[in-house]
Amino acid sequence: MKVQEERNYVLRERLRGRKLLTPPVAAQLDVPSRTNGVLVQCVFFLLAALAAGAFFGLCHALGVPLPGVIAGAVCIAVAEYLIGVKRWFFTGVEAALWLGGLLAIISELPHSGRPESLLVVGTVFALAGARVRNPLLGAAAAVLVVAYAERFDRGAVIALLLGVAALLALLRTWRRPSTEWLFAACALILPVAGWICADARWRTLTILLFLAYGALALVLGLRKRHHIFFLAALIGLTVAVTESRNYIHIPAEAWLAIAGALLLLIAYAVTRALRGHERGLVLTPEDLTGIDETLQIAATLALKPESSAPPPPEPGFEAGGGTFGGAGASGDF
Amino acid sequence: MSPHMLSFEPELHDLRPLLGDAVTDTLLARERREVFSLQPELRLIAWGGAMLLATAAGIVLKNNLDRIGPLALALLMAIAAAACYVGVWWRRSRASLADDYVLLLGALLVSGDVAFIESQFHLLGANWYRHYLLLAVVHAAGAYLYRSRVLLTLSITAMAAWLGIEQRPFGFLGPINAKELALRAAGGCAVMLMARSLNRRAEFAPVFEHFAANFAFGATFALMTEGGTRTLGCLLAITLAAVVIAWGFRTRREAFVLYAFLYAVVAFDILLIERLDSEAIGFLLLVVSTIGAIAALFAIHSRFRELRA
Repeated sequence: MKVQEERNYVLRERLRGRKLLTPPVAAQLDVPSRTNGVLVQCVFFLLAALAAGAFFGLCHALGVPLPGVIAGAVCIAVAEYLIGVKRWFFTGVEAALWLGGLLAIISELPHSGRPESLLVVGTVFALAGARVRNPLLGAAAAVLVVAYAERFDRGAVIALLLGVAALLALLRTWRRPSTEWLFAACALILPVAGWICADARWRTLTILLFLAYGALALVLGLRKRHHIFFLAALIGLTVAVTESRNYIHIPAEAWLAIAGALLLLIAYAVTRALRGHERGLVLTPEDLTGIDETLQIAATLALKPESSAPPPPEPGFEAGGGTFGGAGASGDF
Repeated sequence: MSPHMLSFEPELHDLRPLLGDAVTDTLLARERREVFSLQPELRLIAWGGAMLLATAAGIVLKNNLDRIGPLALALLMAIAAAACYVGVWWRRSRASLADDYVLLLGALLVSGDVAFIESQFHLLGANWYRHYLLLAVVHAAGAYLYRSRVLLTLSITAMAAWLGIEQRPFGFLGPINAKELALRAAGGCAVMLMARSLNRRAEFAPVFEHFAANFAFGATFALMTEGGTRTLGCLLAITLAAVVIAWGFRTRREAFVLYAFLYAVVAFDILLIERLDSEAIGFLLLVVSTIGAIAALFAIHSRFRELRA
């Protein structure tokens, strides 16, 4: 997809979200390719991945020689046909076919079990991501590099270095939105991957590094005003604060209560400070994903403390063997 | 190019005749970051705060039962929850986004407290599971009073738990078979449709509709979990999908059409694959049906784009 076409596609989606995409505007922002919004891309990615997987299974079941290579080649050929002839881009289908095709091909490689296989898989993700300009595939490739580095106990450091590089890359003006998305995805996902890799024996260093990462992102956020910087700062600082809990010996509930109250207070204070602002930092409603509220409701339902009382003890049941947990909830008898 | 990061300034300048000066200037101010909304970050922070406080409250209940006693703990929790509700109500004329999350905290504390009281005092005895119904009513009242969709969702999930189709699924009332689970899910759907017809808040209608559709599909998929009712479940799912798709087209609601179609494809595959004894034909069927689904979904998506244009 050409640069201007990609820019038009992204601007169209933004204007659509603000209900400003009238037919004349859409006509001016010409996008000859067939594209989808993010949510629909996810649906098509899953369906196409299922089709690719089933085709791989079919090749196996039919006893085709080198089924991975055959299935992979067919998937990539179909993806290229869709991109080149049918002009499908950002539909989710071509990304799944490219990724599925390459994974099918490398499934034919001899399985050595060596850690370098992570780099091979990472290369596959990077290749597929670069071809279909999918930022999540690119970020997944970087995560695999971090996983490889963790074999040498350097996972967290490499993750944060790559994360800082992504933050700095976001300072540049990129003409292609997908390039910016790649760095945005790396800046958000890599610190989380690094945290997963962080060992307890490096805890002090982990805290310092994540604190520095969060502080850098916050400073950049305040100077450059980009949501990704603020979100990266939240991630970095959350990790630093969570890890530092191991050095401050207070009960878990007190720790959680203090942290929770502090967050609510910050929200109140900033809201109060920005009330009435019409320029600079403001509080006008903004939906980053298009489904912010739905995501928040889903996260609330998934993470809310259990609220189910256990059944009353049966007659003859000897009490005392259970625990009680959650927000007044999960009877664990 | 602009000195800023990704910016659509050139395109917006070109669109000025179509968008008008006021809209273009607003959009340009955003592109230049002269106006930058911190609302998404603050919502995230406030939500995190509410969730952490609710979790802390749960641990307080768990760890201090012997030291403080159940009655005092239950009262403390009730006072905290009431303070959240009253505080938000009191500030309603100058409400900020953080108030939404104080309300959420209050609702989570109520949920925890009701469950705690029931677990300690067994007020409902053998009918203990009715505390879910109580929670459903309380959260529904809160949702209407404060116009909160989050509280409405908490209410619906509590209702689903009362019916035995959520939270402690498939067994908190003893083992339940596929038919019983399907009946309960169908009951949930009926409640949602009734609530939808009685509802007077426009912003709540989609919530009821989505839950009604998913409970109904849940009922058909419950039937598919047992061999004896699998065919019936598949046929019902396909029929229901046809109804939901038709309704989605009539009301121009793409999300319903998309997921009804996906449910139908899964039901169709299960229906056919169960009747096949060849692995290869099973895979072939999966490939063909998935490609067919992709093609059909593309057509549906294009149709909706045309309708929107």
